[in-house]
Amino acid sequence: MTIRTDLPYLRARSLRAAQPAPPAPAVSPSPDLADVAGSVAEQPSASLDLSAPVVPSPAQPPSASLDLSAPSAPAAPAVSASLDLGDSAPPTPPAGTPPAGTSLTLFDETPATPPGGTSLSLDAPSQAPAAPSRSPHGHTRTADHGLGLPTINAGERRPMTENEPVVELTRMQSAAGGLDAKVAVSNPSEVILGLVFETGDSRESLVLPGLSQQGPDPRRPIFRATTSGVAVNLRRITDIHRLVLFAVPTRPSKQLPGGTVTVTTYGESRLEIPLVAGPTLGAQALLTGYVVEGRLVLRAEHDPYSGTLQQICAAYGYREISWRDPYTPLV
Amino acid sequence: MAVSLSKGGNISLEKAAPGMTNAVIGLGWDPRTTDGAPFDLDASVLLLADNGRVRGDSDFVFYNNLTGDNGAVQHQGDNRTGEGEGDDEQINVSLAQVSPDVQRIVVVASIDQADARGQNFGQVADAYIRIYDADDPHNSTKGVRFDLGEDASTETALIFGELYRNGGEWKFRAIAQGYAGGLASVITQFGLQVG
Amino acid sequence: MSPMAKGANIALQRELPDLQGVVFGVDWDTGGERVLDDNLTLLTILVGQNGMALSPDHVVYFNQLVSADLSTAQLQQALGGDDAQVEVELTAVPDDVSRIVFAIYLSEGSGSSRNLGQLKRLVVRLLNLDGGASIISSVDLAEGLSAETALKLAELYRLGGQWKLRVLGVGYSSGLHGLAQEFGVSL
Repeated sequence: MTIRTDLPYLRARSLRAAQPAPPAPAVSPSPDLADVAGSVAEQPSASLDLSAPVVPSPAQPPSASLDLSAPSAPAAPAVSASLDLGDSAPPTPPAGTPPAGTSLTLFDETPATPPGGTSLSLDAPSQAPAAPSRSPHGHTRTADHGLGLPTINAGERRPMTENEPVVELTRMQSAAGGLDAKVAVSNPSEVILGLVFETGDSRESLVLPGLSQQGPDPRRPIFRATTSGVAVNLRRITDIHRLVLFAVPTRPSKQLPGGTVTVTTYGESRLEIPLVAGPTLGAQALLTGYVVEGRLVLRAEHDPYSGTLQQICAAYGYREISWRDPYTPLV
Repeated sequence: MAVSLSKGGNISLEKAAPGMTNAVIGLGWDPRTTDGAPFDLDASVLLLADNGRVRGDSDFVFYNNLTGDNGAVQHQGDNRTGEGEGDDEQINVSLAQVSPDVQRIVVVASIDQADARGQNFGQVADAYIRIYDADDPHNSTKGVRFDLGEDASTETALIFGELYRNGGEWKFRAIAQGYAGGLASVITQFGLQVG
Repeated sequence: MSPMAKGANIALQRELPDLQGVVFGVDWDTGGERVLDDNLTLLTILVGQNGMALSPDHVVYFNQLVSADLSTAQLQQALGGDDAQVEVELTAVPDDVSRIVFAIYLSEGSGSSRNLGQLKRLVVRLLNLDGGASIISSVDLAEGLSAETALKLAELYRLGGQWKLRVLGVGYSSGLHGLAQEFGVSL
């Protein structure tokens, strides 16, 4: 019997010059993500047409919270044309106005509320899976209403044009990682991005770099300023109700530079919102976001209205914020 | 579907084995999808004389010694990751050419460097070892298959079974004995020494 | 019963022939690291024959607490000592679900980066949905972790018409991306 003292090949294999090819074809069974992504992204065409150009509705919001004493007060705040979900004072759509011009009114999603509790003034086909409403042990699921809005794939870039200003993120896109908003201009020091938001428990506040770095709770922030913009932590999506992304010029002349603001998801979907060069009274709303049944609906506002930051916030229905002056929130 | 063997089972292919002159031992598994060292499974056989031991080192046919008993046993080559469809490693045994003094051929599956890498069969997706008739590969009755991930989940080496002489014929006896000490812990009991 | 090692499996209905459902619980110890606590996220994927999530509605996590078929539901607030729990009604799982994979990942939206190697302890366990009696628990899965930011914890799977549980404890340093890629979840 040979007593082998070193069976070295058990520890480190010798290299063979010519290794016999394994009999099996070397086909990697890697998952075909493209197929899955493609099928998932398929959505029925929108029955609610939000892609029409935004025409300021003749209907004024019933609230009188606009600060009309400010110089050059705007004629029509954009709130009437925006996707307004669960605003405390929803504008009343005038009779006969086509859906494109009116608001989509949804109440807050409350997970505990049965499906019937979600009022939806749109007749998009429901994509709720045909499942029993209650499992043997009592699991229930609130119905998903197909919003029928444009969606976006992982890795896709989407200019948010006036003709197609809306993107609906999937539940996963709305919950994975964070949203990262950045400004792409030739001189980034001329503009800062900020966020005004309302949380699920109806707290309104802002993130404004230099003034308020994060919110609402500095120890566990949902929204925060980054080195080049602002970010939303979507791990906390269930604590978010709505938000507005805005731009503030840093120059005394209050001139906004032209460029693009990008909003990137965890899956590297990129929304591109034009930043139009020109004078402003203090702030320009760029993008609104509403959480609808766990999905974040984002809309480029293309809002010609310019006002102080306080006016912009009020125009989009954020009225629970106190102000040091029309440009500076008390945070 | 081949006969499936579970832990400690002992299946004797009384009917199938006598007709088998060329056996194929197939080992298959899926490549690792997670981080960490790849799962490197190995198929090997030991040719035993009637004293239950190898005659010499060359009777251990494995990734560094692909041919045994003057070509009666042929290992088709090492696969380090499990890439590929079907069997990822195969050993062919031409039973008629096996030397008369070889009485048993023990079939072993193992994981390379399992201890250092903290691996066991249960972590490997779709890991199996099987033996079937090379001349009748689609005859499922002439095969035995062992799912390594199920019944040897926490082991790192397994004696799948053995081909043995019975009268003038070869038969296969399934054993399915697992070992937590890797290939070394198996081969030492057959007269090979590691270290 | 001794704790289950990584890779070990158990035939649930061999032990408990009348088992109707289970609660899968995860108990982690972050050593008081708030960023870890806040970003650890449980993800449960109902996987079809092809190894992929059956649909986006068959992925259960904090923003989708119940699978489309209602068989699998994550609790908003875990009971007992666990940090996160999912209930699975085994009898209600559709036939086209061949396994249910439980994973955790570190969400990356807070701007702070951590990894699972920083966990002090990570144990999974299975309870009987009916009555809550403990069925099995795992060894400490945190052992041996380093740069991982997502981890497959365990899977329920069908074999021979029965449900089994396998403890996994392997993961990726690519976080949710790694899980999403393996299971075909669109991001």
